[in-house]
Amino acid sequence: MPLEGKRIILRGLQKEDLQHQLLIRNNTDGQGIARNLPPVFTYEELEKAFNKKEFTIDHKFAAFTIIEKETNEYVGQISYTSYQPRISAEIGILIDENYWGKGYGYEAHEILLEFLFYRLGMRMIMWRTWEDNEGSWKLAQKSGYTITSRVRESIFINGKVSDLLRLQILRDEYFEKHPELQDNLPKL
Amino acid sequence: MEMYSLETNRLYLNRLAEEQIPKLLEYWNSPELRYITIDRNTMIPEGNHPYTVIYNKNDILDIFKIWDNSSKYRSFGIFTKKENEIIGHITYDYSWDPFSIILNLLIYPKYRNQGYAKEVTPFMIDEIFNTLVTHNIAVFIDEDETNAMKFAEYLGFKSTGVIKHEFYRGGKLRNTHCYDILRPEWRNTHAT
Repeated sequence: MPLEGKRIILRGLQKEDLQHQLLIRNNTDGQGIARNLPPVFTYEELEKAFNKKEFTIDHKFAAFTIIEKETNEYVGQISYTSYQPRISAEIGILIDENYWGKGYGYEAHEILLEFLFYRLGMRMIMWRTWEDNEGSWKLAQKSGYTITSRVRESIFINGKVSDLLRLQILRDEYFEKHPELQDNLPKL
Repeated sequence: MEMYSLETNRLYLNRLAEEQIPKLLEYWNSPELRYITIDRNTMIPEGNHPYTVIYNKNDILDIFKIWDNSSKYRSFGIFTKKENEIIGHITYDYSWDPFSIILNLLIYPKYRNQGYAKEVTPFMIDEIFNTLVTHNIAVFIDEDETNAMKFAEYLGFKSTGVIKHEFYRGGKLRNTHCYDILRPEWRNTHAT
C-alpha cells in the first residue's frame, strides 16, 4: 500500500533526488542547526551517505521523498529516526522553498504519522524545532503535538539566540484525534 | 604526591584503559543498572540502546574506541586518589552543537551517597564553561532517579519539561525529565 495523500505520495529516497536534496539542505532558512553552517554540502557528500545505506528503510531510520502526484515534481523530504524501535521516533522534514506555505508539509506529515502510529504501532512521536520557526511548531501543533520541553537559549543561528522546542504526540492522543482509525495494538 | 591535570580533593579524572575492564564489567552488568539503557557512544543513563545488555570485554573495548576517537564526546573515568579505584564516569556530548551540550554522569551504585557527584560535577561544569563556547548545559534524568533530579536542582539546574514515553524498559513506558543551566546562571552562583 503506497504512502499517499490527496496531492502527494511518499516514496523511498532515490539517487535522482539528491540534486534536489542538495538545494534544500543548503537553504539555511529552512533549518535551525548551527552544525549545518556554513551551508556547503556537496553532491558528492550526499551521494556518499546515500551509497552507504544498504536500504533506505530499516527499523531505525527511513527517509521518504515527497512527490506531487499531479506534476510528478519533487516537493521535499520527510524522515523518521527511531529512539527505540516500535516505541518512539522523531520526524524530520524539509520542504523545497517553492512549496512552502501551501500545506504540503502538513499533508506529508499526516501521512507519515498514520504510518507510524496505525501501521507500525509506535507509542510516541517527537518533533524538534526552534521557537523562531513558527511555521514548524504550528504545523506540529495542528497535527496534535504539544510542547513538552524547551531547552532555553540553546541555539545560536543567523545572529540570534533561540530556544529549542521539543513537541510530542502520544499514541492515545493521536487516536483520540483520529476517531476514524481504530487502535488495535495490545497495551503494554 | 601525584598531580593530575583534572582533579578535585578526593578524585581525579582519566581516560579509561584496559586494566579497568574487570571492574567495569562488574559495575556495568550489575542488577542496579539493568534498566538504565546505555547508549554505546556516551554510556549515559539515558540513550537509545533499547535492550537489556550483558557487556563483555569486546563490547567495552569497542566503547573505548568510540570514546577515544570521537570528536563529538569527551569521556572520563572518575577515580579515587587514595585507593586509585574507578567509581564512575562523566561524559559530555557536543555532537549537536558546542553552544548547547549534554552532560552525563554515572556514579556506580556501590559508591553512591558519599558526596562524589557533588565533588566532580561542579568541577566538570567549570571545565566545560572554561574550555568551550557552551551557553547551555542540559541533563536528562529518568523518572525514577529522584535523587539525581534533586541533585540537579541543588546545582541550580532548572526543570525544562518532561519527555513522555521515550523508552520502554523495566515494564513501563518511561518519562525523561529535562533540566538545563545557562552560563550566566552558573557563573552567578558558583564563583570560580
